Amino acid sequence: MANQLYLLNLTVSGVKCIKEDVRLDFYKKTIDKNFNPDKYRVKAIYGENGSGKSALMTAVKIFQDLVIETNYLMESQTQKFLDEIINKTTHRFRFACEFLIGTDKRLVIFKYSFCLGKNNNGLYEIKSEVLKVKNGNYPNDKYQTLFECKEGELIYISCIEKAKEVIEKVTTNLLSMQSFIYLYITNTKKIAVPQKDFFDEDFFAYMMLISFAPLFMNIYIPAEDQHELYFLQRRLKEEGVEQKELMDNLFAIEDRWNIYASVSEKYVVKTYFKRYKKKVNRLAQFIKIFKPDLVSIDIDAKENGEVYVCDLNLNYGDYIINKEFESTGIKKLIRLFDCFESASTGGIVFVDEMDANLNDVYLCKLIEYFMYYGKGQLCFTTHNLDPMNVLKENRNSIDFLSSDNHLVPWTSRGNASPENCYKNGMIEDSPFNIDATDFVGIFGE
Amino acid sequence: MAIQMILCLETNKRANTDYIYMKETIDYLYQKSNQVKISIVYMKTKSKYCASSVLKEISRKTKDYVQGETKVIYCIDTDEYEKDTKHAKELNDIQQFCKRNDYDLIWFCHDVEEVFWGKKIPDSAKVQKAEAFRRKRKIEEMSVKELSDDTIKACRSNILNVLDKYLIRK
Repeated sequence: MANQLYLLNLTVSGVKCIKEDVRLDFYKKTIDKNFNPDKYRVKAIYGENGSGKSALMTAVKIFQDLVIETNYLMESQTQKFLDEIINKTTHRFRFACEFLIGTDKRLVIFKYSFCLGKNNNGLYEIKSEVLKVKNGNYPNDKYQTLFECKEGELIYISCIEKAKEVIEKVTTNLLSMQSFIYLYITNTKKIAVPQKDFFDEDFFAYMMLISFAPLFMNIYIPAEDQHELYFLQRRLKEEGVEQKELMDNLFAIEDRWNIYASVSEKYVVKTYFKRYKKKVNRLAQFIKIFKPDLVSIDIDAKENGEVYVCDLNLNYGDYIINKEFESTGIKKLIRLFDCFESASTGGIVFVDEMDANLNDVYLCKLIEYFMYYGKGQLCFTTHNLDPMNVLKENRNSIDFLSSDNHLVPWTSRGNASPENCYKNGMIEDSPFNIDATDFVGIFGE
Repeated sequence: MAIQMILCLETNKRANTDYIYMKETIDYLYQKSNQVKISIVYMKTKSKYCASSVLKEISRKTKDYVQGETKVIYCIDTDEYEKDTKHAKELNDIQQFCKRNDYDLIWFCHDVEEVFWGKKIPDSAKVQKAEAFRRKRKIEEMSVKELSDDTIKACRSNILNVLDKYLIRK
């Protein structure tokens, strides 16, 4: 078995309209040494408008940001974002997931969870954070807690006493606003020094392994669901920010976009430029599938200190188009390229509204590719029913999220197709009691 | 327990004003629930109540609904049954048919427009009137009593008596 990272499941509550736990399972219940995710790599989430599909994607993004972003909860923009995005009645966001990390010899399963809630100052902080681990080779192995934090205190840690002392020192008073994982991995120079008597090798190894999970995730959320523009607009109205600050903020948004679409990164560090060029060449090959007359994608690189400021131009021989002026569909494919590359090489990818602006045929073929050749995981939300015909071949590949946030996985029903069952309202909790006559009398005078 | 209500309507998809009144009633008086699936079978005319195409459609929808029980509800206008023996016979035949098959029967006397507007509406104005019924929120002015009669009489219906069996009032 090759080294691999696999997200087994995730459970989310308290985000947007999702009040109670919604659990997504990517693999079957029993995991043992024969773990094989080949038929469990792609999942599509269907649901009515407003059922919470995007909320699930946003939840994963919050998890990723909390664990890998510096000062995530300390940013006022994050606080405003959480204030809007966390369920207005519960004011609690819970996230739990199980990851499997496999090596040639051993499967390790991590169970990570955290809860965000408001403090006395009305700011969201980490109320609890727990990491557990077990051996994945044996289905009956029990979880052992690696660490547990509650209300900003480290209440349990499974490491040698001397290591505990050092770890406590660097995490004291910080655990409400920074995740333990983040604090550990960003302080390894202080707390994980081999040969020192406070170095706990096992604990260090586990922490390094779990920190890979969010780093190998790629989450694509369309512009309208990223909310930054909304917050900027609001801030502009409320505080009347000066033009310069607005421009800086806009550039910051663009930078964050590049996390999702790094192939179209504006600023490329010089040492990475060679790698970036190769990636853009692969992007050109990818786009050529859809636009055979594309000759190349040219990089317009301008030197600026340590970085190149890059822009991409699509060269069609007779004419050149800047990527911003390409069709909406091609622009979307460019932005998704990094996600697709990640999903095909072992990463975990979440794409919200995968079908938006993409041709049905292309969409189905792309999904088919990931099912047969992908080495990672691809989870996406969509309204397009066509992929169901492809996805039904696999397991745990189609989930339906109802308007009351009940997740129903598709299970085979003889010859019945998931597509027909869904659109005819024959899926549990998604009755689609809507008729053309419902619009009679709504429009017009 | 999930339930599917198959409403068999004596119209076609293009002239489906009956369902507008029924949907207004359901939405206004009953709780919305994902546990209730409303399916429609278009009979085109009342006389096709036991046509093989209709029965086949009922059977298919029943088979497709695996998550719960299915209830079949015929929804018909009584028409001028008092004056026309043909209408009276047809009404009686449908009543007997529903009884034999354990189906429910929702009747509108003499037709759905007469029940919801309290007067006859000419065919040419039916779509316009249905639109107006929804736009002007006329359902809010309806008397529950007129919609829950046990005996067939002018401007009355038993719609609520039947729906009360499967839906929960607000």
